[in-house]
Amino acid sequence: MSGQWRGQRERGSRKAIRLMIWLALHCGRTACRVLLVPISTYFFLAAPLARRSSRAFMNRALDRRPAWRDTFMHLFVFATTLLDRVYLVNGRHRDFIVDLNNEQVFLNALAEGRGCLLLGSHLGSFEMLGIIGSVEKKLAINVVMHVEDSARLRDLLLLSGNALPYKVITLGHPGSMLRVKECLERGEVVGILADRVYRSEPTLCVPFLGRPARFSLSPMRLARITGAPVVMVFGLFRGGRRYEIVFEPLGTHALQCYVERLEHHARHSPYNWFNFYDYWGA
Amino acid sequence: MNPTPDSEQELARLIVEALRLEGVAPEQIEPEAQLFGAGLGLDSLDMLELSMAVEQRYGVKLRSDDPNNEKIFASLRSLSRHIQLLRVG
Repeated sequence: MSGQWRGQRERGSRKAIRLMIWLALHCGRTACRVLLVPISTYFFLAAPLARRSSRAFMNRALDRRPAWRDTFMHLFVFATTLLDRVYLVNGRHRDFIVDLNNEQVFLNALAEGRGCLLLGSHLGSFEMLGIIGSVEKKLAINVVMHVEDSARLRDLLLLSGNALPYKVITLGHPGSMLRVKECLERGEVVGILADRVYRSEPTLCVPFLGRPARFSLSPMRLARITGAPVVMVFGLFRGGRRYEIVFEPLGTHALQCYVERLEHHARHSPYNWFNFYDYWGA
Repeated sequence: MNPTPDSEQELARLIVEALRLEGVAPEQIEPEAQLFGAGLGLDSLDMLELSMAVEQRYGVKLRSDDPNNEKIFASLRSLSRHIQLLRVG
């Protein structure tokens, strides 16, 4: 892929991020969300790629022409979930109201005793599920991450001095997928964000919001090789302090089914779409 | 112990077979060429399938937490050598 979204330089120096973390932990979430208004405005003005890709996405996801407010809200919701990540990695998940929807699908899969592959996405946040699942439900949760995402997360943890309750499996090593299989064999949960394509992965073009987009075939191949039960999950921000985690069974035509449900939730919660790059062109 | 070319050939056949590599003959796989990424272009899913095939064929388990994995999976030769060591041990 073009690496567009990874090529976007992290704006805001480490100092600014450290300041934001300090403010988050000492001044409370409400005050920080007020601060996110000028911050989101800054990105609205200074990040043309984010603005353009948001607009391209909104054009397809909304039934009307997107207004500038949609782009602003899109960036604001994204910023809010990043802020909330600070609270989550600091053990403050109880500050949030989390609705679990259709959890039985997940529990049934786990009851098979062969672990569970959770197919997530960058629609909303996987963080809440990782934290709730490991801290509240006492499940062993692993999340597969690209090396740069895991480096970013490590930076956040270093800055706020915390350890994650779930484990990260970094992609790009010969043993990465072997480790996934070992986790599943121990009956653990492995989360994969299946909506992005990395490097020269084999892909399939599937219509998404009215235009073909490339989706990776690797998650489905992993499911086939390991034979573990697969469940889809969407962790959506619902405004205020509320998050909703939706579990859904995966149909027979696995990739097709995943893309259809991704589209469904993207239409209903467009501001949760956190792929700020040319999704169809990548 | 040094792997004989025979054991390397056998592993090369297993790689082609297990990963259904099209247009690649086992004897074409250079013993020292990179398996993962560049070279043969295998990804970590291929490595998983290969590990499962190795376990089935040789009865030895490759582990993701082996600190030497980068070296072990580096080439046909290094992987073959590692399998031979596991079989002896």
